[in-house]
Amino acid sequence: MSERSSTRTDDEPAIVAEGVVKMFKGGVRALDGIGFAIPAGELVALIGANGSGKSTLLKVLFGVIEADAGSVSVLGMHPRRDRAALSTRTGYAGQDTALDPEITGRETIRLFYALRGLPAPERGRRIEEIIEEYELGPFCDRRVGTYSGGQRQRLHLALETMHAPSLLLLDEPTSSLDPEGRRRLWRWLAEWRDGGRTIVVSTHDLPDIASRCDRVLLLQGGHLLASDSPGSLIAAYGRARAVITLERPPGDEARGLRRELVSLPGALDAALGERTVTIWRDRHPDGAEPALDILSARGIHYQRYERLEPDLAEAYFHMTGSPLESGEPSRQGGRGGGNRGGGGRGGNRRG
Amino acid sequence: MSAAALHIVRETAVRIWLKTLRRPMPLSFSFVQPLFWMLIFGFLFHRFTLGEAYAGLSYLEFILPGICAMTVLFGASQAGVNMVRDLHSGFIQRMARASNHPGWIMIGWIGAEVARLLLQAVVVCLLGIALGARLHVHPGIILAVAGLAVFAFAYASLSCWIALKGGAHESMAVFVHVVNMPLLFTSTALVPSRQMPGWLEWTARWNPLTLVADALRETLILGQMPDALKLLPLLLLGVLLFVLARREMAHAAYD
Repeated sequence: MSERSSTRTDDEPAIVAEGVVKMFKGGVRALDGIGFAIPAGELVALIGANGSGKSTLLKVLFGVIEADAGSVSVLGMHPRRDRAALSTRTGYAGQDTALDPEITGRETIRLFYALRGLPAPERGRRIEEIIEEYELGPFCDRRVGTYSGGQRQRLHLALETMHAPSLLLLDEPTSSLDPEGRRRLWRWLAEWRDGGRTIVVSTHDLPDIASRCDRVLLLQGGHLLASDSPGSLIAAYGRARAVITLERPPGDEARGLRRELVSLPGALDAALGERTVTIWRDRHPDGAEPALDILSARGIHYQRYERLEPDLAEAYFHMTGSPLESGEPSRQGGRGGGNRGGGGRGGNRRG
Repeated sequence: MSAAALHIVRETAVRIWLKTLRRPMPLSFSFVQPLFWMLIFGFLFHRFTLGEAYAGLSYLEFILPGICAMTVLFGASQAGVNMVRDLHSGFIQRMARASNHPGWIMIGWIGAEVARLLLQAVVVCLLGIALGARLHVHPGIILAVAGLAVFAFAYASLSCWIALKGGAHESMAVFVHVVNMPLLFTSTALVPSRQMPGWLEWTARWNPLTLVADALRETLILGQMPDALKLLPLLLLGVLLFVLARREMAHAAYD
């Protein structure tokens, strides 16, 4: 993206939402009193299960749909009343790539360059830059109908960022990308953030969020469950795991094993799979793993023992109250409805 | 019109033309269809008595301007069909959100369709000449073509408005049957008004298809200057339908 982008110089948050409610037909409350603030220049991940309200929130922020209650300020503007001004400073890439299959990528870029009112004298040079920046060159003169999902996604992003917006709202941009494409996209997002832009991206890529994002907004059933840095969330809700792979599926010797493992000091929960034993803890014990002694005493032999540190995925499942791998519910369960994190501006700047 | 607006209009029109050229089947059919109409109606009604006003003319010569206007009327429906397709893919909403100037997008879109329709009308005239029609070259042709362009603009706008309002291919089929067919058969495109029953003659007088078919007939067939005042209602109709289509385009971008 070019250097033309405006970077906010004041301390005002890029986005402030208070008590946002959006209802759909049939009384479905897609957003139920959501409030948060996003400081300018942050890369923010919007996470949650499908149907949790992520796409609806992004549409409300861009003004595609209007909230039924509450207030939203985006770059100091109202998303609906000021949408003409806002659209020149914001890019919104929805979940559907919405491209014309009958024209080429280059023709699509030319069209949107005109629609966005970008300067005509620089058109040829800028279009070439955009093609190079998004690595569209090898296929930009082919009709869009022949593109792969990843190629469509790159063109989709190019159309929403060609005007160098200071705020980007991206709805699941990595969903159709292969691992290489995902890595490329996360690299771009980090670069754009480092260039001073604010980015809100809805995604399920929890490992990338943990390493790249400044903040996580976790939605569940239209409620905001958490708003904080990935590091803070992992520290507060992540759980260490010990995973023991057994030589063979245990028989009667496993009777009562789970109860015994859960009674170990610091153990939060345990699960028995066909050939695995998993123990969740706040942190791993110093020294040897006591669970191995229990297995040994029962005559159960193991192949491998792994200690996994707390991560965002574990924190996510913990916060949302998702079942453990064994299918048993977490002891601590989810707590929908509240904002457990720093509540927007109060959260840590970097994870 | 500012340079930015001109840029939007031009690029929108270019896209429509590219799509039209890349879909050879509908384009070819739109040229073949008027030929069938001329041949079928020409043979069917070749013994039809046109009356004193058109003494000395063949029926083919009489209907040629009508077929031109018919071609534009039916061809205008294609604008809406294309729009429904874009509406379903979300492309049109995306275009409208990107520009914040739905009016310029509509002008580019409809302008491209008008150019296509006028080209089709020229082809119809050439086909008519090839079949034996004698056409006059008269300065009035400028006014008549302007009238035809305004008529194309009005009906392409109507077609786009219905497409954006209805959002379904079915609504376009209804448009063709409910608007186009009655309009055709209550006009002077195929039959002189004097041959019609009194009530139909009165109806035909106010039919936009009559206004444009008569203007073309007066200049191309009779070598006379068309009455500019009679074309004025077409202009008003065009402005009204364009405003409706533009407003619907603005609504399409945001729920």
